[in-house]
Amino acid sequence: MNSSSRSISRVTTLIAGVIAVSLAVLIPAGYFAISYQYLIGSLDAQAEINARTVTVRVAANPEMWRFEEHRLMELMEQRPWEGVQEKRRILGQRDEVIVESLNPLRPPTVSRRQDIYDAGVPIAKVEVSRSLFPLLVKTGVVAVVAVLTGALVFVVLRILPLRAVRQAYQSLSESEVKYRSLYESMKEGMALFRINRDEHENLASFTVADINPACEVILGMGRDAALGRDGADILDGALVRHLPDIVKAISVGVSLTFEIQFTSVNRFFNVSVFSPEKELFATLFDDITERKWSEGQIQKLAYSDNLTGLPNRTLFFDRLNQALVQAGRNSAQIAVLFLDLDGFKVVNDTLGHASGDDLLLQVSQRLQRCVRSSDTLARLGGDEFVVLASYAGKELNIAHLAQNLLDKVSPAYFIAGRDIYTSVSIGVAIFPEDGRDAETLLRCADMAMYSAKEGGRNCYHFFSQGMNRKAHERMELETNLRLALERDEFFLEYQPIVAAGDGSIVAAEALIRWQHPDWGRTMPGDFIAIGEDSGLIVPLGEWVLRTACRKLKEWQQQGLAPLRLAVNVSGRQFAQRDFVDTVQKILSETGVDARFLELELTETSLMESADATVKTLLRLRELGLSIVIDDFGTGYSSLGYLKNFPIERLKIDRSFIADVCSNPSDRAIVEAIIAMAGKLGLRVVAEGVETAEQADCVHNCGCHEIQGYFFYRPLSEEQFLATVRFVPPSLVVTESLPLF
Amino acid sequence: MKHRQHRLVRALAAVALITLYSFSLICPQTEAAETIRINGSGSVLDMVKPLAAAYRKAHPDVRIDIEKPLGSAGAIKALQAGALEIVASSRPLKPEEAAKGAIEHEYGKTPLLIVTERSVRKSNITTKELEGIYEGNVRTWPNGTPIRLILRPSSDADITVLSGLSPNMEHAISSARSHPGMTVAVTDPESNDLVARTTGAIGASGLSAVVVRKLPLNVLTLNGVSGTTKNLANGSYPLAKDNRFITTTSTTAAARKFLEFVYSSQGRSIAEKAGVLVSANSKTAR
Repeated sequence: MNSSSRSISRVTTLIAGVIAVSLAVLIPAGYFAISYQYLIGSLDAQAEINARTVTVRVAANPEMWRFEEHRLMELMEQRPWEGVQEKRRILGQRDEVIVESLNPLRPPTVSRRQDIYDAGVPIAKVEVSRSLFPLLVKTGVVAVVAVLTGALVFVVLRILPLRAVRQAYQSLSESEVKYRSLYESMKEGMALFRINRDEHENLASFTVADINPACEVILGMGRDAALGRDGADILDGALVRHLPDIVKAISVGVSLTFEIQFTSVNRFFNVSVFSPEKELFATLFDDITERKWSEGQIQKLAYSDNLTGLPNRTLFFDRLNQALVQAGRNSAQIAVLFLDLDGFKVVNDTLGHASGDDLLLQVSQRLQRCVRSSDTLARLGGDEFVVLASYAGKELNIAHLAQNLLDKVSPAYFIAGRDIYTSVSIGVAIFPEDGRDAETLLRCADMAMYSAKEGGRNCYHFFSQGMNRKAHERMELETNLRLALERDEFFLEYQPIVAAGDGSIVAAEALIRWQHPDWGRTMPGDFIAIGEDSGLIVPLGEWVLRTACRKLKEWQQQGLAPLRLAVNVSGRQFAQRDFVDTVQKILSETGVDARFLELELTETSLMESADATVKTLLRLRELGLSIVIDDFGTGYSSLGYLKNFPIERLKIDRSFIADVCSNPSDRAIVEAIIAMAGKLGLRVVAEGVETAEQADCVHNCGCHEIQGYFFYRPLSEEQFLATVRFVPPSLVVTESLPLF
Repeated sequence: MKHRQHRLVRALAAVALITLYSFSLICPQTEAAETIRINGSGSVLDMVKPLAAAYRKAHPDVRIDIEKPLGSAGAIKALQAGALEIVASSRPLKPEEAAKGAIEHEYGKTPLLIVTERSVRKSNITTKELEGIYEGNVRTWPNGTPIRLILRPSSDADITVLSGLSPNMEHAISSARSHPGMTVAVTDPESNDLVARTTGAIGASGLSAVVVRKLPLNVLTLNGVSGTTKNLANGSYPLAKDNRFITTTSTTAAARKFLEFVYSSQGRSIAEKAGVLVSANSKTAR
């Protein structure tokens, strides 16, 4: 029996005792008091009646009334109740007895008197007495009954509640034993946690309050070791991320169920959380590892290819449908590449199915290495594979992927003790151009694959003819671009930039040209974009910079009047971490004076990472060269950068210059740019000036320098040098640059 | 000489005192101023009343006061308290009364009659019937009229006399007293009056009261015997009340003289006419 039940026992005994004693005392006391008062009242009434009667007799015979003994005695002998013993007397003024009627009375007695009057003056009194003994006897009997009743009440009030309490505790104990047994024998792990709060009543932590044996096994620690530990330290902290949900659930009195993975033992548990009392929550850990494994197996069987382990047709369609939904929402593009092994049937027929399967497995492994984790490679059956690729770029990326797949499949396979060669034919369908649903896309890819087969195998083919051609052209262009760098097929042309005032050459812009052996002279617009996409722009830009610097140095060494040479830098090139180092290295290699070198950057490339751009530009400025914003007004015109970036010049985009004379808006923009640049201390170059009118206009607007066909077209090095040399030196020198 | 004169004066004074005393003893007007207060049992007083009337005729200067009867016991106390000169008692003295100086003088007896209200058509009653009436077993007269029993206080002489009628009578009387709603007459006159005016009433009364007061009562014979002094004398009638006189040593001479008259042959004759069987002679009162 615990302290609580002992307390109940004490209180119950006390209450029962008080009630019992109260009954035993109050009932006889009350009985005696009431009976005594009744007796007194009765004696008073009797004495009063007798006194009144005698007073009447006195009035009738004032002299001799006291000698009317018979009459008085008869009066005294009258008793209201038969068997009630009384003593009645008429007493004189000095208490002498006039008449008395005496029954034997046992002491103690109680007497009451009433006066007898003559002419309003008391002359005698009537006294009526009774014994208290009968009342005391009755009171005694009542007391005995009351004591017995009190004892009975005590027993009833004490025994019955305590018996009920005892039975309740016994029931509770049995229940506790039963549930403790259940708790300790259950195969599910049960842990009880206490929620700890800080001084602001915010959730601080949760600690282990109890665990059952099954939970000991799960946690890998005994109960004693687990008790009091922070909940974040057990189960690899798997419960911690669910704690907010747990606290929220128990605060509204609902249970919560979730799954966790106990990574250190690689097991999964279904966790049911409920709150047995305030600030406590219990977790029931149901080991669902087997179920998970089974589910995984089922999933695998249902959605995987048995041979290769790749997703099967069902899973592929599922993922394709999901990807289509997402792509439709994000306006993204999806490519479906249908792959079919070339000559697989021959392998199967000649080497057997086992070798065929081996080949399929090895092919699938090679293909797997080609695709990104975000893409899906699936085996549709037989020797058919399919790749689902999401992409946001141009078809060239898919052509790259297809080419990469072709390249990876081509090498020999060692099967059945010999080298086997095979290849794949790939058909490509693009969402949304070729189809907007899974079936259509796959059918298109399949058809494209057959086109590839017909095209000679070991190649890829887009479903759309235009796209197919475009992709192959781009692929060829990129290949040639790569070769061009190796074969040194690029060269530079230089377009002079003249001073707006007198038309003297003050600078030049180096412009890349490609002399393809088959295609002839190729302009940047045809290959720079592919260079950007393929990343070839970086080595190409580096080549341009190095070449320009070398030429500038050569010219200076040849005594050419000093002038600035501007080199275009692409955004991708500028974003290279080692761009400044590369520039510094080239300056160092060529020994050119950096003050004559200008780097032209577009607004867009500068704004891609403004903070990093500032640092890069400052470092470039430290090298001594200057920065020109190219195509100003067409990119991100966040004018804030103008004051933060260390910029020398703005080159107004040719689109504003074309109509600057006829379009007031363009003129207004040009004037605004020039005015703003003037305020900021920047110089302005107008490019694309093709007419005298345009030249006058930009000159009148206050433009400092002009570049365009009106003055000079891009010139070969020889032409450029001849032109510069033809111009008197005084016209070549700029006001801001020192002479050599 | 002076001494002689002084002795003479003293002698004259003594003679004068003795003369005065002697005169006072023989002077008749002293008696004429006496009042004799007599009380006691109602039935005895009924006998006394004609005696007093006769005595007053002979002694018109004597005043005899007879108030409402106090009963023997009360009257004896009044006698001892000096409130009476003579008590007419219907019972012998109690020792404590005698111890206090009361002196009793036997006189005679008067039959105790069983009487009913006049409408009761009955002339005889048996002891058995009487027991039945007192016990409450008999509640109606033969004609169906309810029997209304007039009781007397337990200390009354009538009760004592009736109780001695038969062995069961005492118990029957106790039973009657325990019955609720019983009418109790304290004095003899009250008892007689109640019986006389209550329909179907029955009670007891001394013969003197019936004779002297000429009460309108139906007197029954008891077991066929009439309640007369003759039957009382020959012992055939069993119920009788004592007639006695109580005095003290301080009883006045006038009272004594009245008693002498009562006990005289004239007095006895008057008493016998009043229904009393006189047993005392003329010397008894002395």
